[in-house]
Amino acid sequence: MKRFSLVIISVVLFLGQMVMTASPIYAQEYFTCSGKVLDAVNGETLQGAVVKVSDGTGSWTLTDVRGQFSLRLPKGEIVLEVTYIGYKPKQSRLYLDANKDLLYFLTPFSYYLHGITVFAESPAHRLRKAEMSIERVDAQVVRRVPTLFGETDLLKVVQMLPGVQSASEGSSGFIVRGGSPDQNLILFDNATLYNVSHMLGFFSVFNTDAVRTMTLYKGDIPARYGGRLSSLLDVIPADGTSRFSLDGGIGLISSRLSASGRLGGDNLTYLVAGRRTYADLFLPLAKNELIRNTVLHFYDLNGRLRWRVNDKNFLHLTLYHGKDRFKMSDMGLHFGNSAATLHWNHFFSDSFFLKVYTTYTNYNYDFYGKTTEMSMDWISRVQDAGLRVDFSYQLTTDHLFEFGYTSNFQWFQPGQVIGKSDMNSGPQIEQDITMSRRQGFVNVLYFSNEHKFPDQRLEVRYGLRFTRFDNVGPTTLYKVDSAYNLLEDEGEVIPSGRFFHNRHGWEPRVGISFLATPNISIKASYSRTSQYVHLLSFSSAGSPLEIWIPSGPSIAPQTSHQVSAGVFATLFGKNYEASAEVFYRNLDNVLDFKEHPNLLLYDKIETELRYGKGKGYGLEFLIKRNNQDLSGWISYTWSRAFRTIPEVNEGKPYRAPSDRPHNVNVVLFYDITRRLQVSVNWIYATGQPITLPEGRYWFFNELVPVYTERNSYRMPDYHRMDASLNIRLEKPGKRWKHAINVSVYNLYGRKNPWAVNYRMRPTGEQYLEMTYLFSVVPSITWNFSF
Amino acid sequence: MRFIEKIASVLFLLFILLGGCTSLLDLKSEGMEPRLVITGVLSTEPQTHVIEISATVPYFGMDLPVNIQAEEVRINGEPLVWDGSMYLTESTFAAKEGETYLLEVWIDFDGDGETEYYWATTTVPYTHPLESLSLRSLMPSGNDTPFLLMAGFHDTPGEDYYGAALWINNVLYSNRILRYYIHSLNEYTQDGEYLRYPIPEWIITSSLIWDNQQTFDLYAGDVLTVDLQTLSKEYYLYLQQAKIEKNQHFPLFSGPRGNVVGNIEGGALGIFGSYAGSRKSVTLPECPGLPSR
Repeated sequence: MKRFSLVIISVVLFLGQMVMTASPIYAQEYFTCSGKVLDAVNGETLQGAVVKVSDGTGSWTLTDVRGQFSLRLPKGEIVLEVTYIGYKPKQSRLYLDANKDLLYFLTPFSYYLHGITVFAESPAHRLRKAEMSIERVDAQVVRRVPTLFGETDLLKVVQMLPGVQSASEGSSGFIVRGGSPDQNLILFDNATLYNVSHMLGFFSVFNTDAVRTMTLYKGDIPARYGGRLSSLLDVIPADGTSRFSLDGGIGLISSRLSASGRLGGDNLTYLVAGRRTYADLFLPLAKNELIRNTVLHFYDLNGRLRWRVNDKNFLHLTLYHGKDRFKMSDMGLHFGNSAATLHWNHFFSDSFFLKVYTTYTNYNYDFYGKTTEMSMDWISRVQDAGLRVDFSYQLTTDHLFEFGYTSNFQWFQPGQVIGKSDMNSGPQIEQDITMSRRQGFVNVLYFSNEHKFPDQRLEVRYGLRFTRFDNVGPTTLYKVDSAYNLLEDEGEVIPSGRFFHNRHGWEPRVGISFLATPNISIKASYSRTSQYVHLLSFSSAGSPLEIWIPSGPSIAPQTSHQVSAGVFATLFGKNYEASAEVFYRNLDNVLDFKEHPNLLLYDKIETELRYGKGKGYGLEFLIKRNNQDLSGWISYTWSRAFRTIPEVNEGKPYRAPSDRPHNVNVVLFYDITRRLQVSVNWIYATGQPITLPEGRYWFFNELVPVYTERNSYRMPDYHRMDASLNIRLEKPGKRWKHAINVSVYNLYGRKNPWAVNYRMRPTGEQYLEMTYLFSVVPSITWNFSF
Repeated sequence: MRFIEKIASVLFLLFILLGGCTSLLDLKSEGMEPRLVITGVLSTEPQTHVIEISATVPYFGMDLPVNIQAEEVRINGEPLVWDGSMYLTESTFAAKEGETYLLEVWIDFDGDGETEYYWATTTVPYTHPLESLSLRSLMPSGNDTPFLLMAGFHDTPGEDYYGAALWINNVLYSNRILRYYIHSLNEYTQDGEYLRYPIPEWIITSSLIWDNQQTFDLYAGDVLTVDLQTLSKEYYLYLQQAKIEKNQHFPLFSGPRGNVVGNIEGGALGIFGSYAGSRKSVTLPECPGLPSR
């Protein structure tokens, strides 16, 4: 009985304690603590900043696209902490006895950080968002990675992210999850870039001084974007600062300079940046006439204006122009990009706003040669003019609706060659080979919703994208039958402005994130993507002489389904992050060429293409360390990519050119002292697939090779190590900062094959000879900022 | 100044010539099962025409392919004679323009005791007479090496496939695919016109590339003969692919490697093609760039 009484008392006390503990919750008064987080330098809103309550409850939220946040909190004293990658965190203590509206200005770190945040995204953000397979990198990381020829390069950093590989040695092209380089959509302030190479790919078109961040979507692409199968690389340009600043660098073969500041009041800021290589600057002093007259350089110019018209309207103008020039004797090659974006932000209310982008890009090349007797001029051009209208509506704190419309008109002039002879006697020869112009008109409607469930642990994102693609005249239309024979040899002439064919497609996108514990989340996603423009290239190395063509009656759009799932975790006080992802891709109408295709200046290109199916699958592991003396990341990717095309490889599945199963990236930054910083990276990738002959026979006094299976062999594995030492020379507290950067590319001189050719010894024995581009390449650059 | 010049040269060479490094690659393919190869080309010139039959050998092996004997080889029903290494027509045989020829081969290649049958056809194209052949100097003075050979001929409307072979003092210089020139003309390029066509394959200087890193030296007074050959389509396409396979490959400009596709039916490799030729000669002039014999 006594024991029973004790039990009853214990139960009563326990229940009483429960009631006592619980009752204040029901009785407590709640208030809304909302606000905005802004960049202290340029006033830009900061999306994805973490606003956390340091009260042990773990309440936190993220700022939305307008930099706004809202938390429902009980009455009482709280400490709010606001953090954002690349910015100094801010804390404030306040007593909550009414609804509060707060404003936080975060100050960015200087260039020369002590410790580095390797991904421009907070661990909390990565864990919680219903998006995966996404990497955000800040320009400061790009500046720390060892350089080739002393020039920092955003795309070289992209190539070191998990699931990403370089298309070939020294190239700006990259492969994402086994997709081909043309399956990556590259946007610079929403303007599509069709070729991002300088100097045959040794450099990219992105000047780090003019870039703020870049985001790589490896398949789980938001519904507002599309048009490529594998990835989206979204490069956001840097804004001008409110105080005048000058940044630059002088290297062995290139230099750069950028200036930013404000014009008039605080509402108008500018940034201008330029760089130029000068490998050829001293060549006129050479004795050899051929060398003396050689031209070999590139330059690019960036411009950015930001105008805060009023509290509800913001205008941005982004301009880019770059050109490569190579000329030796009377032969030369010029190629380059121009891009412009006019961007208007309008806020209808705190929860409803509009972004409008008008964009234009132009990529062209001009390959010419001349002798006293004849000349040749080969030109090609791709142009893209676009309008993008994005609406965002924050219905409640749990629902963010995005919807909009995009429209792009694309002009493709695949090639025109004009050859002329200038004979003293006899008839003149003038040969004009012009591939028909092709034009595409793409219109897209999309919507998406980010739904956060009340317990803050489950987040779902879903969206749908509808694309209609029209072919527009003028052009000469060539149609082929199922055996790829032309239905009409002459083709059908389509008059200007006539819409003669269209295709459309639905592209659903779904993502889900579940926060299993405060430090672990589980995510999954599905996306369908379509590609209506295709790159026809002989090159595996990013040639400037590339040709793009649109889909048409006989060129089907490529489509892809991708599913991904993964586990994401933060460890040891969020200084470490780890993730494991698995993905599977299924591709339709994947494009390849028949054997020995005729791609150069051939108008009836439809006869040279072949279509089939593709698949890819793999695993990605990543561990990274942030904000420490030793920072960086290590990633391992195992992935496979195959194609099956009835007319290629006798219809049997074969390895895609991008099938490179093992890939390891190690990128480390170590701050020895405040003045000395070391960066090291090591890259390993399985050798590129290669087709080797297995037999040979005589014909015309030559041994003709015989192949059995496409891509059944591999080049030697690729690996290299780069290192750099950054020595800060400025005095503490001074505005004038400068540093010397010494980089070594390919530290241990690995001879990585770039091309493989067949050779024969006098005995008749065949052997392979590889061409490699780089041995050890040291460089030194002096960087400064004021 | 000399220092700057040296630096400039080094920088330039560093940048340009870094891409010029080559190294032996220790990589070999496995051998393949031998495949039958049948090759033969008919021309409108009266001569002994040959059909060769052989088997492939491993690409990286030490053996070179050798010709083999079939049970029977016929062209348009007429048997050809085996001379111990190849099958021969009569010495007066000349293919006729516009006619179609059927090649038939019977052979037990797989050794199973059963005779296999292989066949191919070719239709001989019509000749485009070479009306003129001249030399055009590429130098401003107009009378020195290097020269280009200018072939004057009337193209006919529609797609035509041309080849050109060069003889130097009656020695066939174009005895290899890479020294033989091919080109096609159609409505898309240039069609049905009189052309004085510069043949870019051979830049005529005092020495031309020859076998085993030797040169073929030229002198003033040497006679250059060009045979302008109108090729059957299948032969042109075969030559085009074979040239690609024998050329140097670079990732920037070269496509994937692949088999040279012929027209032999029954599963054999090779080609049965034809051409119609027309010749002209020109004599190399006395000029500063050419020595005298």
